Amino acid sequence: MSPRRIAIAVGMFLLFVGSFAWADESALERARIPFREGAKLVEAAEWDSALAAFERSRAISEHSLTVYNIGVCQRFIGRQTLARETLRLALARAKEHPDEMPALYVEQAETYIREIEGRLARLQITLTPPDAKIAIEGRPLVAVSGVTGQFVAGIAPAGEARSLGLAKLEVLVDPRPGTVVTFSLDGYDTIEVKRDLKPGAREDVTVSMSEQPAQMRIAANVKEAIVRVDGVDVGMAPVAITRPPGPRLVTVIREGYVPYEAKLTLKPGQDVPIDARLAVEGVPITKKWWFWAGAAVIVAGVGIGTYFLVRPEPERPDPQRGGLGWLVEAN
Amino acid sequence: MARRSELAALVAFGCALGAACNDAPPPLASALVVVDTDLPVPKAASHLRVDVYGADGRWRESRQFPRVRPDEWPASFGLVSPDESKPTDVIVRLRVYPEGGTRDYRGERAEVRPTYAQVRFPANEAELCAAAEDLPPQEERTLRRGLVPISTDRCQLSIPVSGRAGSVAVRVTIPTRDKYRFEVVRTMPLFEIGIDTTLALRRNCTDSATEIACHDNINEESNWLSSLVVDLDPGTYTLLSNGNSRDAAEVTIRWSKASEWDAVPPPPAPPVTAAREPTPRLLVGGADLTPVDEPSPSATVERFVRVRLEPGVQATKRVLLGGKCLGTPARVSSAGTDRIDVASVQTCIDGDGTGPIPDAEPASTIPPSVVGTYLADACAEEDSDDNVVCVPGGAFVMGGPEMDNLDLSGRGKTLPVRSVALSRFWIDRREVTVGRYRQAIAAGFRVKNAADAPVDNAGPLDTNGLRTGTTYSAKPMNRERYPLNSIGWQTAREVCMFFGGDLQTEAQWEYVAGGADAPNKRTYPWGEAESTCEVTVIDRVFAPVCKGFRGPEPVDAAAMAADVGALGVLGLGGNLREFTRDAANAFDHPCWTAQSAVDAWCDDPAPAYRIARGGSWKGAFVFARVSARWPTLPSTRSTDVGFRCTYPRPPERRWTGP
Repeated sequence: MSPRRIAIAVGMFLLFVGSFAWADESALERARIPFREGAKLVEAAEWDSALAAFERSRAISEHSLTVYNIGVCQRFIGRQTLARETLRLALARAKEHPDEMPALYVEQAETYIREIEGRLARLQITLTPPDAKIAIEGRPLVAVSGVTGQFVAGIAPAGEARSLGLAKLEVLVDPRPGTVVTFSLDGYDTIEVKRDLKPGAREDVTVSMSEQPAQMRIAANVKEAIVRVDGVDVGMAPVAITRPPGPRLVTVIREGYVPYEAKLTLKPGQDVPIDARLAVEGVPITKKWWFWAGAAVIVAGVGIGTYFLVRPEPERPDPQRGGLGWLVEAN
Repeated sequence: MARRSELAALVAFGCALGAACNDAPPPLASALVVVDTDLPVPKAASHLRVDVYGADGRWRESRQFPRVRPDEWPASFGLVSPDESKPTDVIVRLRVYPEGGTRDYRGERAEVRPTYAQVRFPANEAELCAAAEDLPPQEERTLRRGLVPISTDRCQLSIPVSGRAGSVAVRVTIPTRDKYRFEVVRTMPLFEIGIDTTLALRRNCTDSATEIACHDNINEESNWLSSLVVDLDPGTYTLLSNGNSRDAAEVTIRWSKASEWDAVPPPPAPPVTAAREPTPRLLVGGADLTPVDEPSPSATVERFVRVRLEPGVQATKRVLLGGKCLGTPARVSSAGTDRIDVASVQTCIDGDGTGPIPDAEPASTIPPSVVGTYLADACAEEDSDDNVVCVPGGAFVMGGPEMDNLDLSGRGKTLPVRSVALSRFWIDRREVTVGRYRQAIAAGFRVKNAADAPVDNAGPLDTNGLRTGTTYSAKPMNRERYPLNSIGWQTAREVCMFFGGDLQTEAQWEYVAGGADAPNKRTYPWGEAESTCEVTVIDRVFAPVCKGFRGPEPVDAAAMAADVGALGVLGLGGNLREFTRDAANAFDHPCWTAQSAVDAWCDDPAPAYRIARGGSWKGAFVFARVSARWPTLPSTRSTDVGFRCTYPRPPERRWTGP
């Protein structure tokens, strides 16, 4: 809707309201002043200031068209879920006061609501345990009346997250990148899930508070020591790695040093520092000259032949996957 | 390890006895690619995108990795080739970008960096007429109108020269005698905000005596644009539009036979090629795995490198995605459904311009990460004082999605986001005050254009009018600590230049308001707490929303106490919104995209709007957000607009008090 059309729509309010009896003429007259200011601000596309003007008018005297204008301003400043709620309120009031809102604006409000609902993103949240608290962009959720398990984000004022007691719920959200959903539960670290929500998107969010990953921060006392977790190269120490809870094998290796190994069981949300102390490899007795001198005659014949028959195949060094754990085959 | 050395010793002994030997096979051709960045993480870089192509350009792999902590850099991955007979070349494309710095995948189209030349307005009527272009009927043409009056018409003569702006002109060729309509159909700034035009038709452009007709306002009360309807003989005429308001503007003109005015011109022919998916595509095993989005060039550092995998060699290569390559996206074209044209790729060469794909640099060791070191000139505590605050250099991301649809002119869009790097600078700790302005006048500052200067408010402060709402008074009225309002952009800039600086750029304002070199960008200058009456002087127009004086307050008022930004810069979120140096354009306008990302600002000598930043006593809460942009008429002397200055070094000229 162009600003010009809105201006006309807004101006009509003054005509219509003037035609009908009003319980409190003085309140109406006082409400008209900020309403007119809001109309001028709409023409200058100053949506926020217009919104404040219409809200002031509403505070003096409630009227369906004032609520409608508030919803339109909210739509223009990108508060889609709030605009939807406000326009629904305008329609609800218009049903009770049919003289307040001409059919043109009822139809327009319904069109806006449909447009907004088509644009809203929907998050299908599966939550364990169900009593974890949820907030989106720092605001608790508001239940949609008459629809079990459906909630709206962006309406309630910023505040503490609330527990909804549901394992599965759907949330209508303003589509925008970087939307943050926060899950919190006493005794656990807060989980933040960030999603880039496009208009009309439906996304699944599955969160298990008891399955929070743990972090291992692995350092070594020598440079260029390669760290492996469960046999996979994760980079050179120092390195910080997150893994799901459970048993883990950490190995730190560097040529010329005795490998360091640690077996540990990670708990959810745990932060474990590991300080790998690698010792210089000792000289085995087999490198002593006098050992070979003494064994030379005995080993040289059958022993060597046996060795070549039973020794394992020599291994080709593995290509490195780097800290990202990713190896790309070129061909 | 010990057992292996024992066995190796036995093998060596066996070899020494002449027995047959069998060494371990050599490694496969492989390379460890180590990627680092000197941008701050996560503020300007939090994701790494890696695309791998064969030497023939075929797209083979694509992954993106969140790397949101400085200790996750450098990042590394491996390349391997099973071909043991010959070397294998791999093309690697590396891109680092911040959260939100993506767009839908558009395919590779070898986009050339746009050029941007500042508009040059004609200096006089002769130049205006010589540059007038032919305008066919029904075609809309948008022309830039400057600030200086160079022509006039009879309809404008009643307007004093001080109220006039520049002129635009087009040539029209009339084919047959008929009634013709000429109209200014659109302007920027929008006409509702006070732009005014006239329209005049001349037989001879440079001779005002040949004026045939002129027109001023379509509607005296509601539409001050202009429309002419006149009978004309065949011939060539000049259509001029002059300005009845002091701002530069974009004026859109159209003409046709009066009877054909409402005939809608046919739409342009649709392109011959049918709509198709963007290419190339990532096709793996018959499946299309092409990512749906890609890093946005305006917020990405990108480099291509070639990695040669030699049989038997495990190499290490290092690539730096450095801030020097900000604003220098690669030029890449598609060479088919599944590949790029490798030979034609032009990529950033670590800040030395662009060139063909270079070989990746070998690395014998992996040095520590250089994250956060780009342009990171620090400030010492003694570099700041009560007048000015030192702001350390660094990179960050301008814009964001949450404020994008606020402004219908389209000039204040906050998307796409744009990465910018700033050298160290100094900024006023507070908005420029009445007291400081008075000290400037006492020290010799003179206003060049009285229409642009604050008026003298010799009475109490009452924001119901321009004069009574001005904080300045020629004789002190105990308002020295109030921010200086009701000043035009040009005079504000001249005040800053008098002090050895300039108006802050948009990037400088947003960088400081967003927390400067802090790891994450703030939502509001004071942090993440919602913008409310308790934090700053904002939204005072509609009580009972916010109680208090309906206007600005002293810069050190109690109501401003919580409006403290990072580094101790005060009043960014409220009181007065602040002029910046920049012309108002979206971040993908050539004035942004054609320049380097370092110390970038949108430089236009006479735009329709300038950008003001920050909240004000009049505006709604949301405009205290760091990303919010207000297109503002440069000539506006508004009681809710002020300014502050920035400097490349500590200013020598100082002032006392706030």
